[in-house]
Amino acid sequence: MPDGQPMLKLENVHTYYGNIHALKGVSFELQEGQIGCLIGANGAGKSTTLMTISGLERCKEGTIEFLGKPIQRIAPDEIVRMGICQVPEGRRIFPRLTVRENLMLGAYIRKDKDGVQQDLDRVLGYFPRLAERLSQDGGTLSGGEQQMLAIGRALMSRPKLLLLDEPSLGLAPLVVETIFEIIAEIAKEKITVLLVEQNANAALQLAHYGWVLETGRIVLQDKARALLENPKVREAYLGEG
Amino acid sequence: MDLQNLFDMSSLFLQQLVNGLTVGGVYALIAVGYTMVYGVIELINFAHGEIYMFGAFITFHLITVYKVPFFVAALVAVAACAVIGILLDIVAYRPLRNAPRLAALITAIGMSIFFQNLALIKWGAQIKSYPLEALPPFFSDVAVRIGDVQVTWLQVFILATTLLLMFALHTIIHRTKVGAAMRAIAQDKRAAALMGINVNRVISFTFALGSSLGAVAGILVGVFYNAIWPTMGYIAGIKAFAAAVLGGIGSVPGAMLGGVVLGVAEVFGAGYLSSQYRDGIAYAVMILVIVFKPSGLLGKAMIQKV
Ligand SMILES: Nc1ncnc2c1ncn2[C@@H]1O[C@H](COP(=O)(O)OP(=O)(O)OP(=O)(O)O)[C@@H](O)[C@H]1O
Ligand SMILES: [Mg+2]
Repeated sequence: MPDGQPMLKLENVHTYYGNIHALKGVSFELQEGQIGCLIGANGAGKSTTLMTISGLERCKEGTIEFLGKPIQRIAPDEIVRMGICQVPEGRRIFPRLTVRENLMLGAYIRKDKDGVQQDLDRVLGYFPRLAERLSQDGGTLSGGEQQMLAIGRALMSRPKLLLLDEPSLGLAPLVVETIFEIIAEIAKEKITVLLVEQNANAALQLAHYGWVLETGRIVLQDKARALLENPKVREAYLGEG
Repeated sequence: MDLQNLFDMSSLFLQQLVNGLTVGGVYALIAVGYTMVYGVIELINFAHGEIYMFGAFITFHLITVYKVPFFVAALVAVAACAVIGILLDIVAYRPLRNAPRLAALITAIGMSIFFQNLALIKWGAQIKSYPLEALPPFFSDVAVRIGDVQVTWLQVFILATTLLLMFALHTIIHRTKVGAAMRAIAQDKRAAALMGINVNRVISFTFALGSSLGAVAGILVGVFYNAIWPTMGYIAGIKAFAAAVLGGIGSVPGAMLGGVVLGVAEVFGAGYLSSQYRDGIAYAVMILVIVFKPSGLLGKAMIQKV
């Protein structure tokens, strides 16, 4: 891999839902080992961006490169195999599978039994509360525990790039804090993270770089710290002004 | 005298129970096909009854035309039906995956009619039967006799096969990776795709599995009643569908239970009321379930899907 090649690169990505033009030429680059943060109001196209990267929505125009390879026409399961895993908005755990089954489905693409066991131990180390509930149905967990399960499940695929869609949504402040601490831990393990958040303050404090999405377009991008200082951002997304 | 009466009654009861379980096991084999496919793509595969019919006819064809031994013919027919099930999904249903539900449903009915007519062209409308000399001779021997109650080896074979296949199915669904993927897809297709599951491949596997079991059922019934005909899948399909609804559509244990309950109810209804009611019982059960407990015996409460 040549030096300085971004892990993820979107160029002029356009995605539609029928006639609805949800992404209107989104471009950005995320460097390996960094935490990137996508912020924006409801309906801006944040989830659509992640779904287009994961291949569940298809862009009509533009390219998405992962480690230099175009992936915008590759099947979703193949994209996971290449090392991109998503924790979707609303957690989307499997409610009638046990916690253990949920986690093992995260490792669906893997054949290395020992490695999977190691990662299971690692995930349960991150989230000890899941360890106590392995044989419980996923649907019986609390919201915070379900979010932990969703993140744990994604980590079980041993991703190179982790896409997180609003992991703090609907959670109590204390739980949000735990989740953000874990995200920081994950990033230390050389997993690149693309984080979508409405909780812009916490997210930008964690991230290296940030993008502001408005009705399908990136309107602002900068180092996360600079965005935190930016008056426009403070007014629109940090509840000030 | 009274005691003799009681004995006669209880032996009749026992005989009908065995018959009911035999029939019910076969319904269960077909019903799990409906329920599994419904589980993964929310479609009532109305052509499933025709896969059952193909199972019986392909076996017949191999035995009579190519003189293939019964068990070999049956295995080949089951494999062929698995392939037909996969193709049915790919050709007829997959292009409509994101279309309105009604479009897929109408296509399913169309495929059912198409398959019936294909069989009609190929094998004619006449009722066919397996040549006796081609069947294993032990089938017609009596295995167990208690008083007046007789159970033939064929019935033992049907019951054992059904039990074995149900056990195998349960193992696949709950102990294997592809089984976990099937259950995941039934709960959330997009989330399953995000886990790297090739959704279409698992759906194909589900069709293959359901179609194989349906084919086995067709062969067993064909041998049991010694009669097969191109529209045999229609009534069997409706009954198995009723069994799946009774158990709770989407629930595999429900379909097994529903099949057995329906089979037993049918045989007893025919025995104690009138044999003319036999086929009506499935409809009555289906209507009662839909009116009083739409989620079925073991089904999860669900929103209207069809
Ligand atoms: N399945 C869909 N069908 C039609 N339109 C959709 C669909 N999903 C999203 N959209 C539309 O696309 C646009 C972008 O939606 P998206 O879900 O990506 O926004 P978001 O930034 O994730 O919002 P939120 O913060 O509410 O999650 C919105 O206008 C939305 O209404
Ligand atoms: Mg969203």
